[in-house]
Amino acid sequence: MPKALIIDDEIAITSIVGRFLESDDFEVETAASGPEGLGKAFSTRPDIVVVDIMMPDMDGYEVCRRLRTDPRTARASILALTARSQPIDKEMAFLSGADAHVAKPFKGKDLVEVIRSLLDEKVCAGPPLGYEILILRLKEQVGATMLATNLALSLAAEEGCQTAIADMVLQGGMVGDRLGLPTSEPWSLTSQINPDELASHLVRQESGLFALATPVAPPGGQVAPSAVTRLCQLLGNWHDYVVIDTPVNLGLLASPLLRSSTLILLLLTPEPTVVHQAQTSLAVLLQAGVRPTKIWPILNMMRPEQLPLQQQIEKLWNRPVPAILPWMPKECAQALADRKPIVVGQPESTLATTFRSLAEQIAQAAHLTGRGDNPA
Amino acid sequence: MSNIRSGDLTSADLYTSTHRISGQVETGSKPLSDLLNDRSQSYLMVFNVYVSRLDKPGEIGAHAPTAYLSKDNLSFVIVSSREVRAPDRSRFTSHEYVIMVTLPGVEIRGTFSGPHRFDLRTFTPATLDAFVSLTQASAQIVSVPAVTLSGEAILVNKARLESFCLNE
Repeated sequence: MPKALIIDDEIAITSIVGRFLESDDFEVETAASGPEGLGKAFSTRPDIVVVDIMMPDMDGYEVCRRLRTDPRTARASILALTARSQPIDKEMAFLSGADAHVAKPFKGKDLVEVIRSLLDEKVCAGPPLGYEILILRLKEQVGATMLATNLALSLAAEEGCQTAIADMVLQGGMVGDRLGLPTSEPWSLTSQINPDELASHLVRQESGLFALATPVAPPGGQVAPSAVTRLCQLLGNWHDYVVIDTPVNLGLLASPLLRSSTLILLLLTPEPTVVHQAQTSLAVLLQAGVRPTKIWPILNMMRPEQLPLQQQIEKLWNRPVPAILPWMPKECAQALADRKPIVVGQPESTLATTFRSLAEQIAQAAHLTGRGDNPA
Repeated sequence: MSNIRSGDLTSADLYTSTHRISGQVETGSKPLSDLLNDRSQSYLMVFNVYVSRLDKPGEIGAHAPTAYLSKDNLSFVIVSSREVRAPDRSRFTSHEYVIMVTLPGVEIRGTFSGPHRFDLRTFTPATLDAFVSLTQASAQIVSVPAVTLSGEAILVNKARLESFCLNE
């Protein structure tokens, strides 16, 4: 049964609209002001929000903006219902994040039809997949954050799906910088973190991707495993895909992250010892209880000379390598200088195509396996 | 928009030369045009008022539960057709004219029902109605030409008219 939330300071309107929707098999909640409506929206996470524009405490445009920029409600359909019926009002509603605009007075039947068509348009209906992708690196400076950001943006481009990227590189995390985001407020990750607090630290990028900057490293430099578990639970409940960039040394992060992840991308670079390193890492992961099918090797050809790395890794994994990032130093340097990931700044490049192809393979695996399962 | 008054409330978009004022007017059983043309009251009481500046007519800048608007200073009002008293369809008002009028900072195009032999005195403040009705009308704000405001009817304050262009 789809959930609807009606936010209007006119009780007669919430009552009429509520009755129409209930008779059309909607579960209906109502709120008499913007702040009350936002509180209910964040806790009940409705499929559709019907919001009045002219409300005294907080106007409907602000309500729409806040719904769209909060990960808990960003994927909800929003219908602006208002007596302000000029084309400019419609434009304002759309700019604020509404999906449809209906002028008062309205016919109940028409309103329900608009709402039904809005819900039909949503491609990724239903609960979020909560598919968590861990980016593991064997050493520094191998392009792991580049992989994480470009993959997250490519997954975010999947229609109707919501993606987050979390920076868990506690010392010197660069996700925000690579995405061109402004410096974020410092925040601490504790096991008591509540949904409102966490949601306020997630920044919605222009592409729709939600980014979580690295938390302030606690005394001793380690985050409690229970805090990481809590973080993964909340992000997984709100998003279809969660990409997590991790440091070389996982430390206490290892256990909760390996347990909650659905897929692990192990980034390998062409070096003489890489096969040995990959073998060791694979053994450690398997020993930690990770299923082999959950680990995908990704090659980043960071050198012009081509080593017979691909064949060796494929032999080790006994499967094709899902993605080989080509040697493209100019494109990478440009992305760093522009603070614009390659899939955004240079979408036609071979690297961008590779990232998108990897995202497609992950999406296929995610849709085949469903929430919380390991990929085939 | 909430009702804080009982009775028949009519939503209206009222415009001065600088602001857009959206709200509700208690009209009772009468059309809004009757209230605007009632010369015994120089102010119009509006409830649940949302104010926008005319250069940003989509943005809500202020809210007030009640406002008194000086009718003389209103430039025009956008309403639904039922808020306009139907024109007298006698032989004197049986012709429709496509017109453009200018008011401070605004151009309005629309259709005016008037007598066969057009008399500009119909538009002078001395005649009975202060607000004249244009149908199929649209208004353009001169400083924001990309924005068009339209409605089933626009009631234009004749005292604010700067020019009247007749397109026959």
